[in-house]
Amino acid sequence: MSSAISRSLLRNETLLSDLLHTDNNSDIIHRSFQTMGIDCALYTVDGMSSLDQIAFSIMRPLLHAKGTISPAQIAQKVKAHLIESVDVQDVTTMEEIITHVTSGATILLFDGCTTALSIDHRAFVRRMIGTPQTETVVIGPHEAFNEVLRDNLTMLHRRLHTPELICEMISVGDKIPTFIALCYLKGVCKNDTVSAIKERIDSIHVDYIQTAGTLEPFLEDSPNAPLPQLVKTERPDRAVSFLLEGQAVLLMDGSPLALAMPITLWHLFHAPDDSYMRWQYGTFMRILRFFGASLGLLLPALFIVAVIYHPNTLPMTLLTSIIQSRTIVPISLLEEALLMLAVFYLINEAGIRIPGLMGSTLGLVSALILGTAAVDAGLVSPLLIIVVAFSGLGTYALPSYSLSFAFRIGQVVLLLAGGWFGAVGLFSMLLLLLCAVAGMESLHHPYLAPHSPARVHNPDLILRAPTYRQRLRTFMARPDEMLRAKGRMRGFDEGKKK
Amino acid sequence: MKRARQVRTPVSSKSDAILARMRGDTRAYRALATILLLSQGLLFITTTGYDTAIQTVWQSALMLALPAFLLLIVWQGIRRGFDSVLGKIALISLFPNLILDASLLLGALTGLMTFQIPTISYVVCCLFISLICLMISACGRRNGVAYGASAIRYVLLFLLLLALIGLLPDAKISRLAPVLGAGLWQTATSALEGMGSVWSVSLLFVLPAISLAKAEKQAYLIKPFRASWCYVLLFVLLCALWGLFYALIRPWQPTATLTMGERLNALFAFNPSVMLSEASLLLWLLGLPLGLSATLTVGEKLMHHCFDHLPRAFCLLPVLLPALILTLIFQENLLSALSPLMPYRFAVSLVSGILLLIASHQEVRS
Repeated sequence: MSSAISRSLLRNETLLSDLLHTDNNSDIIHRSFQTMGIDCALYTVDGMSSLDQIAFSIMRPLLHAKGTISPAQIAQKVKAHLIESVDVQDVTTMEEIITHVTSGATILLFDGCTTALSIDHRAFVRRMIGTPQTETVVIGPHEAFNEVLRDNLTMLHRRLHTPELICEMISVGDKIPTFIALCYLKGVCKNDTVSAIKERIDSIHVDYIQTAGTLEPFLEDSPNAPLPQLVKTERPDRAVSFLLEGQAVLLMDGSPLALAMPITLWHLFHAPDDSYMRWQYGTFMRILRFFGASLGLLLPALFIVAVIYHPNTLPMTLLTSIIQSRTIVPISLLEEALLMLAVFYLINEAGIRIPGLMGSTLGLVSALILGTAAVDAGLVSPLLIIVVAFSGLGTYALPSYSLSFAFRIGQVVLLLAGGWFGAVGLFSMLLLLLCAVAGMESLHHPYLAPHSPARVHNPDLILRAPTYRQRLRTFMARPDEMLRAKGRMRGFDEGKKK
Repeated sequence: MKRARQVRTPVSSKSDAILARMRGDTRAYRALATILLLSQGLLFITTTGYDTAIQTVWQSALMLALPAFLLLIVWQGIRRGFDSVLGKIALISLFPNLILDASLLLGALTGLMTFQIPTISYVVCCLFISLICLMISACGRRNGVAYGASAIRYVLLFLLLLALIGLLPDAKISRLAPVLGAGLWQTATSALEGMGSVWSVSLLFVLPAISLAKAEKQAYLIKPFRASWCYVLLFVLLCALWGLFYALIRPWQPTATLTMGERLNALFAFNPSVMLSEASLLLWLLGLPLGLSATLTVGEKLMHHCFDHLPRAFCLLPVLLPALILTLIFQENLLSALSPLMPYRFAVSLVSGILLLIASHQEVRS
């Protein structure tokens, strides 16, 4: 389809009406008119651009233009003297015309001229900038990305007033292109990182990619691993913090999520407001979160192993109570735990799918009524409900939605290993998961770094030191831009000393 | 208010970044090596040292551990010889040692598992552990086992110290006598069985050099980060402490009739604190699989270095399969069956070390 624009407007119109299916497609606006004695044609998609602006900035000047001009020069004349729009581009191929029209631009074609003009008057219905849905914070900004790439880029530019913020546009999708903006801070982000991301995007061969979630497995080092290897965020402030750390951020048209990469596991444990609170609060929250994650992953399996294979580890009163409560339960402890986890996940899934307030009501009703009824019916023991609820709360404490899913899968795997093969099975499986995760990489950077293997880093993994002690960017940044500040970051301390 | 220097090693250039990366990898491998040495050392003391050295196993532990210092110096000096044909032959000759190490660890872990869950047969336990350890080494990709071990190094150290502290109330100084146990000669000969294991696994301290790219390898050879002795010292101290406590807690009695699982549990059977003894058990449960996976990783790296066209997963099998067969054949009698072979590990390592020294010397001259 990569054909140059013909000198004959009639031929161009015929070809375009064929490519854009104007006979059937009522959304395509096609207007033919004359300016300065030359035939012109205008194409745009209804609803994607502002018809008022097209009328005032394009049609009116062109229709009122006087004099004559040679057809070969008309495009440049119109661009330089007549059109009252800011963003006007030359277009020379039919392929470009199709891309521009379908993305909302207005195309002007002239008879006898092989250059067309693409004028940006995009104005479509969009969701307003709202508050984050999955990354809410108590303290900090409350803006979230929306589905419009331009708006999202604007939010980044508004926060980072520097020409070093580069946003490279790349299209992906063999049949229907989708635009992706690759954003990074020039000089801070490593060239290797940028080129590796570009290389991966260029190598994608698929007809269409709709959202960032669909793009994710095309970019990851280990797409089969349950753990995400890039951070999805809907918060512009978080995207900016990744940029400042020397990572790259991908924004996709039609997706309200930014993808940040490369990352480490620790990024998934960090919540945006850790940095906005006093460092003691942030540290406390992170320790709590880490404890919750460990609880979520290990508690059901440890409980099963302790009760079935190591009852001597439990206090006698507790053991007696467990055995008593299990006397009327007709299934084994492992089956009971699996059943409880399945019910818990089911309530969770149903709560998400049921719209609005109904979801939370369903959760409460299920937890209270089903739980009580199940205990009364002798289907499950009360202690196991507490264990499953604790572990569920632990996984919910994780700030990354994807990570909490991975932890839930890990929870079941460890439960089965512990239930079938005891403590040896549980801890061997834990080691397997640990080593598999440790061997993972995100854009060739070790997943557990900077803890293991050790890399230079700020005191900001689990324990979080004050901001003025965080002198370094991540080890993924350019080495010569590793230091964020030279000298004391609280300069007035020097003054006090003098 | 002094809050200026929180960064000890700022990276300011690309070469700094490469060095920092190599330093990180080296530390991870050192942690893995220390954990593997400890697993082997503690296993030797608990299963063999106690019987053969007659009570004063702490001397035996010292004699087991001290050669590690010497070894470290030797291994540091021979890294240049890895790439020559002679060097590769020397590395391959270490495989019998690795197989023996792996079968001991596999046997110990299977024994522990069957002791805890008598309903599962020895064969099933053995196959399960082999499969899991194979997967640990395979899923860990290039450096996953080392990085994973490094991630939990403090947990293991904490568990070991907890176990030792937990044993303190039961320790009786009177059991220390006679200080030299059955005599220096018998102690030394008993330690000989364990010494061999130290030789091959201490290779892990220099193993990162094998997997480095050519340019990085040159930099590594120039700047070898010679602080490995700290890790070996830690190993020596902890082994000696473990042996000492073993002697102080248990009144001496022959344990030949005990199974491997019973022996591993024996030390803590005297401990009144259930939680402490379970924490100590956790040390075995984490240390032994990690030790076995590390042994497989050493084998895989050596094999891949010598025959680089072989797929990585296949390179794990030359150590695992013979070890699995040995364990399945001898089952509970594994220890007594392999005991006569153990002292020869020392000889095999010595031959390999000498060959590597020659290869390294030739490389330097050329």
